[in-house]
Amino acid sequence: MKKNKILFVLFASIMTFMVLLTGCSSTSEDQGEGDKKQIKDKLVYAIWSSPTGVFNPLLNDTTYDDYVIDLTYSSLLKFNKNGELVCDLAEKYEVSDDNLSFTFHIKKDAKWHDGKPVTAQDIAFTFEAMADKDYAGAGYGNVERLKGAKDYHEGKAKSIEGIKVLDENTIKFEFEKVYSPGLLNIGFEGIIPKHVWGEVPIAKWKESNELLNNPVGSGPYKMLKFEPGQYVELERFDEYYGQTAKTKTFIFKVTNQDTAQAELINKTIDIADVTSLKAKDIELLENEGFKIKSYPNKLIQYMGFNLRDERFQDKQVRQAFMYAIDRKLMVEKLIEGNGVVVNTPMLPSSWAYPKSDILNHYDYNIQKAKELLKEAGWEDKDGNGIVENNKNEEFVVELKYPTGNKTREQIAPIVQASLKEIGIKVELSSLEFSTLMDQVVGNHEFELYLMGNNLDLDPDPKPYWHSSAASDEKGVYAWNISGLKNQESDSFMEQGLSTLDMNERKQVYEKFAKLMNEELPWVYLFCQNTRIAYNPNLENFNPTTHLDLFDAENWTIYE
Amino acid sequence: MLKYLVKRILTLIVVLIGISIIVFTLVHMQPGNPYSTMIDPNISQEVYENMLKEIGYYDSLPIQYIKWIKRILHGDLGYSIHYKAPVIDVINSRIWNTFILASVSMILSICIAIPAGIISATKKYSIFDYIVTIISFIGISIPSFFFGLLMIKWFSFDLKIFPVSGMTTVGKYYTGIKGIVDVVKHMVLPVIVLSFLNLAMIMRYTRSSILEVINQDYIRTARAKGLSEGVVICVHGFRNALISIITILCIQIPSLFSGALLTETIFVWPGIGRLNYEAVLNRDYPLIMGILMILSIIILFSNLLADILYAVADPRIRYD
Repeated sequence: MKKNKILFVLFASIMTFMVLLTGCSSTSEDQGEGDKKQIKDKLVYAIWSSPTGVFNPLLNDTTYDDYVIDLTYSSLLKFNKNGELVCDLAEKYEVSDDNLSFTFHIKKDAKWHDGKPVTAQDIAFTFEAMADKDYAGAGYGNVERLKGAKDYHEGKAKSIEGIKVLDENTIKFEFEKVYSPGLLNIGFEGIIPKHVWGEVPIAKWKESNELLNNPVGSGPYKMLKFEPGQYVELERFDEYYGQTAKTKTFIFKVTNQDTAQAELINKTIDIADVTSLKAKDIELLENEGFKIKSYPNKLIQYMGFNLRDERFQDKQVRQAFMYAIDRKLMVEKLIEGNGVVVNTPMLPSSWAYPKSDILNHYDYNIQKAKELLKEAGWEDKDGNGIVENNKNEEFVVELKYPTGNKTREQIAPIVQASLKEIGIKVELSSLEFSTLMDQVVGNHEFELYLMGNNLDLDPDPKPYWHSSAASDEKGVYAWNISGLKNQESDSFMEQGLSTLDMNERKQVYEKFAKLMNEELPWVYLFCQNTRIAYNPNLENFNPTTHLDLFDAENWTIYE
Repeated sequence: MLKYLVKRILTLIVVLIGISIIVFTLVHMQPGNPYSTMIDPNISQEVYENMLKEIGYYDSLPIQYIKWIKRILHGDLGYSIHYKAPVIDVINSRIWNTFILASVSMILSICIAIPAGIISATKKYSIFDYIVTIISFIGISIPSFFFGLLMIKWFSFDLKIFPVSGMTTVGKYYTGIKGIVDVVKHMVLPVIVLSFLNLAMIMRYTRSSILEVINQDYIRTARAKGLSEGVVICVHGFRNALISIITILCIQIPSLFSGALLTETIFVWPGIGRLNYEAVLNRDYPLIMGILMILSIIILFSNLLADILYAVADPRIRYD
C-alpha cells in the first residue's frame, strides 16, 4: 500500500512535469452515448465542506453527513410534496384514542442494503439505543418522554416499557403524557439495522470507523465510495421498497462557493446552493440556461439582548432598538430582497407563524425609537450624541458577532450605524464561532450578540424559550440564550406540547408569537431564502424548507 | 559527526517534549469545546456534560496532558472527535495528497528559480534581470487566493482545458494510466499557483546570494586563472552561495507536509492544510495535536538536515 502510494506519487509527479513542460493537450470527455431523452446515470450535488464519515443517524452531527444519511437510511414516516405526513417504512400507523400511543406496521418488502429484511426488532433496537446510558449521540431528547425511557436510561429497567414489539412487522410506542412532537420524533428518525450495530457494544459505536463509513441502511441509495475531503458516491439500491431511484449514481462533491459558478457552467456539478451569490452572478447563471429554485431557509438571523443586563430589562429600550433598525432596508440591500422580515422567533414558512396583521411590524421609525428611549429614562443631556440615564451613565454597549457567515458580518456595522442615530454607542467585537459560543451561550458574558436560529420542522419553541432552558450559571450551556423567564410564555409552550390537534396548537402558538412580538428578547431581523441553481434538464426537483433533498430518488437529468 | 548526530537527536527529543507541552496548553486554553459548534437545543445539559466527560474535557490540563503523552508513547495519537476515526488514519488519508502537490511544485520551482536566479545575478541590470525581478515581485505580492481564481477563470472557465477543482473526476473510475492522467490534470492549476509563489522567493534568494559572492577575491582569482565564466560562476560562485540556498530550501521542506490552506481551499484539494484548519475550528483536540506534532517532527528534522548539508556544501564546517 505505502509502496504503491510512493510509486504513484513519483509517477504523478513525472507526468505533471511532462504536462507542464510540453503544454497539455486535453483529452476530450467521453461522449455520452444514446439518443435524446435518455436519463443521465450520474447526478452531482455540490457541498461546501467534506462529510466527516459519521453515517449513522444516531451519531452524526454535521449537515453534510445528514445529506448522505437522508439518502441511505429511511424512517417510518416522511412528507409528501404537499407537506403532509405519509408513510415511508411504515405500511400504516394508528394513533390511540388517548393520543398516548402510536402503532406502526412495517412494510413487509423493506430490505437492508445487505439484503436482510427490516423488522420491528430493528426499530425497537434503534430507539432503545438512543436511551442507552452508553450512547454518546444527541438523540436521547427524542425518546426520553417514552414511557419507561428514563428508567432504562438510568439503568433501573432492563427494557423500555413504552416500546413494544407486537410481531415481526408491528411495533407500538407509548408516551408518558401527550406530547405533540412525539410522532415526528419517532417517525423521522433514521432506522439502523440491529444485525450490524448490535454486534458492537454501544459504548464502542463512535469508534467503529469501518461501520460508520459504510452505512447499511434501507434508503433508496447505498454507499459506493466515500473519499474524505473529496466526494461521496452513492449507488441506486435496486431492492428498495419504494420507488427505485431514477438516477443510477448520486454524487455529493466537495467544492467551494467561489468556484461553484464555474463548475456549474462547465457541467461538473448539476446542483449547487447559490444563496451567497449576488444577483448579477445569478443572472449570469440564468443567461447560461440554469434554473433557480428559491425557498425559505430554516434559519432566522437575529440580534439577541442579554436580559440579565439591567439596561435591557426595560421593554421600551428593546422596542426602541427594534424601531431604530431598518430591517426592510436590510432585506432589500443586504440580501437583495431575497428574504422576508421576521417579527417573532418563528419561521415565516411554518404553519404556526401567525397572520401578519396580528403582529406589530416595528417599521423603521427613528422618532418613535427616541421617544421610547426617553420614556425609559435615556436622554442625551450633554449633547455629545450619546444618551445617558439619570445616573449619568452613557449607553455604551458591546455587540459580539461570529465570523464565518458573510451576511451576518455585514449586519454588525449596520446595527452600529443605526443605533448611533438614537444615541447609543455600539462597540463591535468579532469572534471565532467556537469562542463566541463559549462566551455567549456557555458563560452568558455578553450584552448584545448576533446569531442565526436554526429551527425544526415542528414549531415547538420550548427548547429555546422555556425558562428551564435558561441558565445564569457560568459554564452551563443554555439555549435560551437571552435568559428570558416569562411564566406566560412558559404556559403557552406547555399547552402547545400537550395536544395533537393542529388547530389548537396553531392558536396557542399565535398567542406565543404575539407575546414574543411584544416582549422582544431579540431584535428579529430576517429569514433569507435558499437559492439553488440547477441543470435545466433536471426534472422532479422540488426541494423545500427542511427538505433540501426532498424526493431525491425521483430526480432525473435528461441528456 | 556520529557523536554530533546522537547529541542533536537527543536535544531534538527534549525540544519535542517542550513543544508538545506548549502547544497542548495553547490548544486547550482556547475558549470553546469540541461540541460547542453543535447547535442542538434538544440535548440536555446532562447529556452534553456526559459527552464532554467522555473525551476527558473536565480533567485538569496536566492530567489531560499526561493521558495524552501516555498514549503517544504507545504510538497511539487517539481518536478524532469530529471524524470519529483514529487520528493517524485521518492524517494518513490527506497528507499524501498534500505531499504530491507540494513536492511537484517544489521541484518545479527549484528547477526554474535557481538557474534564473544565477543568470539574473550574473547579468545584473540586463533585460532578463529586470524581467526576473518583476516576476518575483509579482509572485511575492500576489495573494494566492486571487491568483488561484484567476487561473480557474482562464484555464477552466474560458479555455476549458483543466478541471476547476478536486483531485479526480467524480463518478469515473479511471485506473492505471488513465487514473494518473486524471489526477495530473487536476494537479496542474494548483501546482502552477504553488510553484509561482515559491519560485519568486527562491529566485530572489539565489540572486542575492550569488551577488554577494560574485565580488569576492576568490572569484577574481578564478577569473585570473583563465577559467571560463561558466565554470567560475557555477563551480566557485554557486558552491559558496549554496549555504544560504540550503537554508531557504530546508525552511521550505515542512511546507511540503503542512499544506497550503488557501490553495487547497480554492482548488478543493483534500490536503492537510484544510484538515488542520477545520480541526481548529471544530476544536478537535486530538487531531490538532496529531497534526502539529507530526509537523514539529518534520520541522526539527529539516533543520538537522540543513546542518548536515552545510557540512557537505562547505568542507570548512565541521561538527566535532
